[in-house]
Amino acid sequence: MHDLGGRQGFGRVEAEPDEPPFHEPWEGRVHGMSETADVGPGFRHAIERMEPAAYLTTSYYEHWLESIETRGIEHGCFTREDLAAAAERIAAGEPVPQRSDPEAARAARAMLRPRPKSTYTAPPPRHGVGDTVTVVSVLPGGHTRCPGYLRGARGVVERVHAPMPLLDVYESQDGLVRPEAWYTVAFPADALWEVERPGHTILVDLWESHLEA
Amino acid sequence: MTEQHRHARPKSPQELRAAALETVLIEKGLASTDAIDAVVDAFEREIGPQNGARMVARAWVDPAYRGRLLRDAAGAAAELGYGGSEGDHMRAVENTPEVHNVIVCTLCSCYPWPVLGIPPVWYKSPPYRARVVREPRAVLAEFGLELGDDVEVRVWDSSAELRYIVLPMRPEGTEGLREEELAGLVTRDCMIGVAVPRVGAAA
Repeated sequence: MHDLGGRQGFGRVEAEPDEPPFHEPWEGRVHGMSETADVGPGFRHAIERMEPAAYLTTSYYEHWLESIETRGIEHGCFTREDLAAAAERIAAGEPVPQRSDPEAARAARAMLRPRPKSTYTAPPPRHGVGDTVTVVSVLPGGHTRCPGYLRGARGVVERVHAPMPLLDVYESQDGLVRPEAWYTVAFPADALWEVERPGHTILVDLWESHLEA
Repeated sequence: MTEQHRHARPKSPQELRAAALETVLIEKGLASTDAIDAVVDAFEREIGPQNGARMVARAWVDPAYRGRLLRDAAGAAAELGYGGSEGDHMRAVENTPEVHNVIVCTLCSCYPWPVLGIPPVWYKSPPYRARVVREPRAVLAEFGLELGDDVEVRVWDSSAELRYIVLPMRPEGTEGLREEELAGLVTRDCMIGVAVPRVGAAA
């Protein structure tokens, strides 16, 4: 349900004045857990597998909760019974236990500061700036970073980037790293949908695997 | 337990679920209270759109910095101490009289955390993600931004590891302002591209 670009039927975008980073303390805890607890790869894929109606009617941080729980269970870090037992204790008034790990706290702070970038090697890019490219019409099952509205669309390469792991594979295949060249590709929106006038341009980052050779 | 605990009895199902998860992660040694606290504290105190606003204002007064920002936004952010998670790779896209940029993530909610902080709920919401790629002018109008037909709208749908920030145009009538005052004109929405800086607007 997550692949929302261009879907119709949604109403106004409702902005909240003076929105805080976290609306409730539990949202901050979830953010902190997500950033610091290693429950395995597949953060987004776990959210994308949510039941569609639940996906649309729950909040961002409920999605994150779901992702940590799902991955923790699937990777054997804990069980659903562990969660249920802890919930019973909390509901009965027990506090959340505390544990100090200064090294982990230091690492958490370092993760939110400038840090060295990883570099990857991959076959040379097949396309160059200015080339017309066509998005594949058959997308992989599981996780993909190619929005569905671009299937079969033709665009023009605006920028070529140094290789990065293809996240379709990384998220769907348990952290497997398969670097590829990737591109920023410009698409005229009027080739995708009947759009308002004047038309606009949509620019999307796509990997080699998302483009026809 | 003598330590005063944060959580009174949970008031909502989400709060209970989050507290149960934190309990399990702590008891299994997979998380620590102080590491979680460090992340919460960073986003509540240090990381937010004031960081991006400072970069924009610097770019307005310093052409060399503007050049570095447009070439390598992550490097330009690091000069001011900003970077890390969800911002290792960043790109600044510049508004001009001919081009207006707006950012979105239709598949998820990708956003340049180190320079803009946590994305607002509307940015993560289905209506924005569904509509802004298809009818950006209508969405921008709902934010009070009407663009002329001669302006090309570019919608950046972040889908890889590159996070985008809009470099807005410096408004007229700000020639006498200092860099810090200019930063005060640059709101979060200006750097997402659903607004433009206005003299007299609150940050």
